[in-house]
Amino acid sequence: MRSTVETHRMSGFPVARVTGVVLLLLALVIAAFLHLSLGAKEIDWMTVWHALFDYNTADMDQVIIRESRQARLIVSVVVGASLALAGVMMQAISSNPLADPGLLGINSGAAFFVVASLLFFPMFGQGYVPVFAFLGAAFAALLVMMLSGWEQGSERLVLAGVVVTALFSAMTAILLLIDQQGLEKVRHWLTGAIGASDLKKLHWVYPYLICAMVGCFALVRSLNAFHLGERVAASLGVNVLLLKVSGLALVVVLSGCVVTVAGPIGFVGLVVPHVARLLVRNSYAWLFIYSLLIGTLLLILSDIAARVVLSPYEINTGIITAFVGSPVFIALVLGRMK
Amino acid sequence: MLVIENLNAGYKNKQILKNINLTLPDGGFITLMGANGCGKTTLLHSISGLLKVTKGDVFLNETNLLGLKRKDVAQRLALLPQITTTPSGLTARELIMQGRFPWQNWWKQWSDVDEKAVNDAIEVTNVGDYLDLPLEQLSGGQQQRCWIAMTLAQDTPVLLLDEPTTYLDVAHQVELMNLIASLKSKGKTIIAVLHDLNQAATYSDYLVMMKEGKVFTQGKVKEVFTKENLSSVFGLNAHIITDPYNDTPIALPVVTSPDNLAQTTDLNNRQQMHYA
Amino acid sequence: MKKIWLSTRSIQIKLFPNVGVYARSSDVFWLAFFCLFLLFLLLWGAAIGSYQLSILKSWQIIIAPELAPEKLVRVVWEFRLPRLLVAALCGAALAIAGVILQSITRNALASPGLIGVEAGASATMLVFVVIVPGIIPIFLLPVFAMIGGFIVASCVWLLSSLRGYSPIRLVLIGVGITSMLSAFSEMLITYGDIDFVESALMWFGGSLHQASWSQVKVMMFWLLIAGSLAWLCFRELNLLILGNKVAFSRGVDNRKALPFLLFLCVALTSASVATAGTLTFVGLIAPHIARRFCANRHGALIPLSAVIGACLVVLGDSLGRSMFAPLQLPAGLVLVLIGAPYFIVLISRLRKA
Repeated sequence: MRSTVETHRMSGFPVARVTGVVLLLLALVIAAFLHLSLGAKEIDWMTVWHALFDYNTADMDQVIIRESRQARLIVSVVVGASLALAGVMMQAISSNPLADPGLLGINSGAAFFVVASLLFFPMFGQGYVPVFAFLGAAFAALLVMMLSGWEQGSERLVLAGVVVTALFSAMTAILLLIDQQGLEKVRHWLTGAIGASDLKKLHWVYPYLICAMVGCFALVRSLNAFHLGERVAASLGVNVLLLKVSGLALVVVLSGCVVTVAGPIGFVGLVVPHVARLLVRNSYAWLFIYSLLIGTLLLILSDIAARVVLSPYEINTGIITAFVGSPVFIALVLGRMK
Repeated sequence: MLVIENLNAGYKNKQILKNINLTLPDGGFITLMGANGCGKTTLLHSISGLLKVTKGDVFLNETNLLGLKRKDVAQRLALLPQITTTPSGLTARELIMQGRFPWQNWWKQWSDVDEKAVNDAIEVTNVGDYLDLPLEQLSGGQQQRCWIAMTLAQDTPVLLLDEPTTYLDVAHQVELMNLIASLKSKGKTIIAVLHDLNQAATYSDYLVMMKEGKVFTQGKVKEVFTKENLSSVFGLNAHIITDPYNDTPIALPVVTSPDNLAQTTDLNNRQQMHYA
Repeated sequence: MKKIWLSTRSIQIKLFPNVGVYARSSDVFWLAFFCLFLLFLLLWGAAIGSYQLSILKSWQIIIAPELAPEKLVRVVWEFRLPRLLVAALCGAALAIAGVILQSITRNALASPGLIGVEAGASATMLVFVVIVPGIIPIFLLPVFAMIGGFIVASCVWLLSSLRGYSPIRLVLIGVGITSMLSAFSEMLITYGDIDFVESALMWFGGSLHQASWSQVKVMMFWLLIAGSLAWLCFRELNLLILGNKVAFSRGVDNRKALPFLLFLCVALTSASVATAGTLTFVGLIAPHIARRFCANRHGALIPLSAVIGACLVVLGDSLGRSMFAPLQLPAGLVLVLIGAPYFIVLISRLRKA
């Protein structure tokens, strides 16, 4: 809201927006410290500080932070940022406020392909997991598009997503039934578990992630034009088809990476762009930046909740985001649809 | 006789109709006119009960329609809303038969009266040739005829038509308007919303001009269809002449000469510069 | 769309004076055809299994049990027949519910699972199986699942009519509530006692292995009541397909008809979810297949979808028993496997037309 004045003056230093970014970064740092200190065993902030900048292997608390929580924090950050970007991109290219890689079945498609690859092609190394995830995500995305069509209204896209999700989760369930022992580990991962993840998986995906994030920012100009409508964008010289295809490809890569690292986590991509849009409205560059930060923040907070709410048990982060996200989805439906 | 008293209606936190009072004669072609957003369609919808009336009453032959059950209303009034989609898999006859709904119930599925009403409607609208064809195969004009036949099969004294000629080409529009006007001779009262001024003036007996949710003026066509009224209702500058063939008034919009045009654009530009 | 080779001309079928329906002769033909097909599937389903029979043999056992060996009669009458009948009845109920929901939302992608009934029933079931096991006797579980389904569906209805009812909103809010409830269920499944969870999971997949004759009776009761009420509303549904305004001005009272139809839909869905677990795809696909034969004429569409739905579930269950024997795949999952690809092809073809 406060930024509206700023946008009318096209030139000049966007003070309000930069301040917003700084505030969000501050919140992120606080959340990160909270994340490191809270958990099954509470660790005070001084120890956290020492663990980060003055590591002493003799202190068990510091070891916990360095060996388990730090990795978890990094995974949360990466997952949150990528899901948020995927959400913005998905909503932008489908011109649909209800689009979300989780809701549209893209995550579950990726998950199914990963499970299937573990079962049928164990000879491929684990480094190939992201590739299978991309394949699955792309396949699911194509299916959803086929079922709904680009021009159709929001409800059609969401319903198509529900159908595709049902298809893939049923097929995953069948695989799990067929090989019950072998896939026991997978079961946990399937509900979106950051806890089960580790930094090794992150190493498989980070090149793709960096490319995809850069790609998102490269499309900013076209997206701004596309926001005015498909025809207008075309007459402004945007290759609409190319934009949609590359946007979708970016979504596929982003959510494929997330699924590889942490399993299918839904609703982050739905919620974050809407929150970001409350702060910035009319520039995709800023929308991406804000969404990235807010998504990261949301996922760190969700992960804290996942470890604290039912302590000493841990809830899967995907479950927390669904609890947070579905009320937002309902509110959106109530508020936006005629 | 359709009497509307103190009618107020609208959508959530936006009142559209404000204190409408109207008395519409029986057995004529009545047209509601007005600029976009003046509440013509809203009025049609609130008469038929589609939109909840916040205040006021609608009487048809001294029966208050607002207190009646849906089926009872539908036995007296038939509304044809603007149709935007073509139902798939239905033949023309199957569509028309659905107009009999208000006269049927669980123990009275299909009677000879129903049969006769449908056959009459088919005859009047002249759709007999394509009765058993799927609607998707018919032209827009033919489809619209079928919809009108369905409305007729409902066998009500009053028909409400919301822009029945939109999306049709000119020849089909005329054909359809002739058909609708011919229904007067069957004793029907037709209340229509029409966009085309001259169509309205040619076919109607009675005009109701609306402006900003109120009735601006009403009366016989020749009394109401005047230069002054058109100017204040539509903001339209037009000459009125009499159609030598039909003896009805016709509006001819005043065309600004190129000089005037240049002047006005110049003025506009200057104003815009000023704002900028 | 493929042209139907039988005439599109409707004929009047008069049962009594004033009581008769218009139907196309093709409708009657297809209905008879699918009834026969269902009969065949039932016989086939009764014949296959760990103790293989011929179809002829199963027919003999069913019509004249006193002539057959006692062991075979037990296998067929006590295990296979109730299971097949429950499958058929649940399929029919879900298909009718699907027709209702797709017609009142005028959306080909709507299915009864979307309005929260299935999620509500499953979550209730899980609560009583995993969190507080033993509080209710097992035979009452379906009743509670049904109540849960009803409560959730009414919440969805209330939420969606908060700001004026719209069918799209109904379905989308159903999607939202469903995902919240499934997050809850997932939590219970992941952290619950593994033994309790195992039985719950089997049920989730849409499994019929515990079917009994009493379940057949209960399902039959629901299907007859709610199904025939739904069929009697065929004219309302015909009009609702044409749009809310058209239906309303023909005299369909939306404020009464929609809740009533929705109630029927919920009753049918929750009854079958309570007996057979989640069979998601039947309610989506059966109406589509039926529509290929009789379009949107609900007088024919409702019975035809019911029969096709029954065929689908019987087929899914029988395949699930035999495909990877001795491993039994739940019928619901098999249905998704065969149904989803067909559905995707169907929808993409519809969009091109």
